[in-house]
Amino acid sequence: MQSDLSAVLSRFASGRYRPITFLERGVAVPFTTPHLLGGRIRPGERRVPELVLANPAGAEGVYILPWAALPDFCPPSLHDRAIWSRINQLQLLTPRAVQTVARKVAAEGFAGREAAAAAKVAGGASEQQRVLLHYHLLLELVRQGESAALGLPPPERDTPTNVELRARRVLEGLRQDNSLPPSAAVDALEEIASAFEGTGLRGNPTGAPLPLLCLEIATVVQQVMTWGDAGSGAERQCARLLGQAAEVTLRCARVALANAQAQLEDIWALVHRWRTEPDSVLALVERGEWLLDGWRQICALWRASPPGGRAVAAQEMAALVPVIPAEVGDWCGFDAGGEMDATRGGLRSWRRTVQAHQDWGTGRIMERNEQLRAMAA
Amino acid sequence: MKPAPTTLAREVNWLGKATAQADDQALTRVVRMLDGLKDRGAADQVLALARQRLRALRPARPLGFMRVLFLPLDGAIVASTRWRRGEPLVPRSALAPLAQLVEHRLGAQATEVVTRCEGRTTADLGEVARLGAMLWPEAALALPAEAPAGWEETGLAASDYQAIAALSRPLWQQGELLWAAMAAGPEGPPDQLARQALLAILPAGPHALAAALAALVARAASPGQLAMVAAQLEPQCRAAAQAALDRVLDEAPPQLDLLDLNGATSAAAALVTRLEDLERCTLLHGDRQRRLAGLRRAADEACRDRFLVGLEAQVMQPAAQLMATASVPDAAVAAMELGARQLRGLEQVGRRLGGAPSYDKALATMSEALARLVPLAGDGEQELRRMDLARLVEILCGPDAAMRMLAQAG
Repeated sequence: MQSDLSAVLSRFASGRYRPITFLERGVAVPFTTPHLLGGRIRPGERRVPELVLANPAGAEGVYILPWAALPDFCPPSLHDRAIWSRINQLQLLTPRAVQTVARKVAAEGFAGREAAAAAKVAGGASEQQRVLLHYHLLLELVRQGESAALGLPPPERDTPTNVELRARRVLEGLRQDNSLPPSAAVDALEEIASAFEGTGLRGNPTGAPLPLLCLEIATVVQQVMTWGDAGSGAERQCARLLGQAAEVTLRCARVALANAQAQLEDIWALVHRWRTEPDSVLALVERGEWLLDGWRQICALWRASPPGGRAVAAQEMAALVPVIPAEVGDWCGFDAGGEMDATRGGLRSWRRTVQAHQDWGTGRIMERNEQLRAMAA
Repeated sequence: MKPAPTTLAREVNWLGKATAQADDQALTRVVRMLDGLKDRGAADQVLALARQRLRALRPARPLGFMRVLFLPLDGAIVASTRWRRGEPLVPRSALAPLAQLVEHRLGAQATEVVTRCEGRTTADLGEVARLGAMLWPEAALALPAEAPAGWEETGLAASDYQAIAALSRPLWQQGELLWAAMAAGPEGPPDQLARQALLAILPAGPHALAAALAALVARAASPGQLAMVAAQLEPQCRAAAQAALDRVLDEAPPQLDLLDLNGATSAAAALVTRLEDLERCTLLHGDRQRRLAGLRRAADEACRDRFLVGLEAQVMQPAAQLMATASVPDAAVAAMELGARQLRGLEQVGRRLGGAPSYDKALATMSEALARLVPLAGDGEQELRRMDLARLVEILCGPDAAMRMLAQAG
């Protein structure tokens, strides 16, 4: 099966893989079929979607296949078939859009009951996050726009009803023409809350997922390093390279999140920009999501591995470390793409020197991959 | 008051039978408990009936002086009732007196071995090697020429002691090499390790060689290859190699019906590896080939039977029961899926033994039966859901079969 698949895939080999943009890199799809683990979707020529698969042997380059051809070369699980057909209908490919589809599929039980329950919890948490963020935006608006001379208590100590009234008064006061009535501004704030759901506010008072993911990456990498220090030379090298990859990613993520959150320093200006040029706001906000896309699965691989299976997990993690596209260098202040390329090159060389793990039956990998769906819902 | 001997024998026999029929976890617990007894007394009799299953289960056993001492003779130890004079075997009744004798003679060195055994099990192959290196050569020197006082309590003659001692000494002398090859049994053992051990024991004569081969073959994933290595040492070794193979061919297939699904799959997989190796062995001709084919047939049947029983018990019955349950817990569905995955593993191993059409038929029947349940299943939180049934089919028959089932159900 493995050699048959390699023969089929070889027709789709793409020797050089240096995406310029995140969209060109594609969005990670949480497949459960073992051969599809780490697969990404991206818009190809004339926006026909393509499937990007890493070379399973660890060689440089990727396989780029027509998305429509997926079931022809590898029988996907029920879960993956559902994701495959539903993602195909997305108008806009973003990490969040794919995550939404994947959660819906998982919530229907395609990856088992545990993943279904986790998807429902995650969906509920997202909804709660948006409400909480919206409220914090109102608090922030009051802090930024309300005169201290009014002698009102700090908004965080006031009731939610009062906070909304005070926010509306602030919006009314800031309004200098008839262009943006307070009700429209409040609606805009709701949309902004939805856009900032991932990044959250500075200091992350709402527990937004991306800053938490950064912490998770740091924690996992620390554990990987500890494991590597106690292991063989090869394990130490792998841990070091994974640590480097995480460090480059986290450096960029810190910049991306700070830039996104900085927009919230002047809520009134942000509301205006949201009304006139939402794409520029979204472009800043979505950087973090794109940058960290795929890392949730990498962390889950480590978390799901038993103590005796760390080396195997590290091998799989090494294969999934996402490339950083060149566009990141334009805003993060250093050659992140180049640094990540060097690290990924090291990981590729390392993977070729260690024996591939082969004693897992396909059924067990699928079970584990479904566990990843529950852990990274 | 102690029970009368006949009552005790009856109770031991009853307990032995119950142990032999117990499920894997219970058996492992019983073994752990009996292994923990200071005075084993009738424990060995209780375990005697379950020995075949213990060989398949191979639970890690606590290390102790006697267990470490006799590991190099592992393949030569038989129940006292099966022991015959003149055969290169050691009756189990001789082990305790010999161990006591060696322990007494080694004094402080034996005490150190006992201390180092504490808290360790046979799974710790490296520690066994270290303890053995300390113990086995000294034990070979410690055995006296004549039977020790009290030997007659074993029910064996004084001359039997000499034969048993003569068999034990060379295996202990070369215990380190022998253990290195035994411990590498799951990897073959590699030819080089096996050859080294057998060459070292060869000068001790055919009985010692036969006992060493028996010990190696019992743990070998590739007994056929091992026998070929032995046969090539010297012309007269061929007979010993074939005798070792005869013992393998005489082994009954593991009682898969008494093992849980994971245990059955592991035992069947180990057996498949051994059978495939034996089929490549050029030492097997004529009647031996026929016996080998018989062994494969028996294993195939045992595997298929276990699969069918498992399919009914782990998937079909629970699915039918859960259909009638008002509130289906997630754990019950997870248990069914776990069973289905284990069955898939057993089926994949079983197909290597033959009988593919039987598995196809059983799975098709199972799919049809589950498909009949699909229209009755709902999508509610509390119910057994259509997706639960589809996933069972996916796990056992693949995603395409599950898709077909869902499509047919509309």
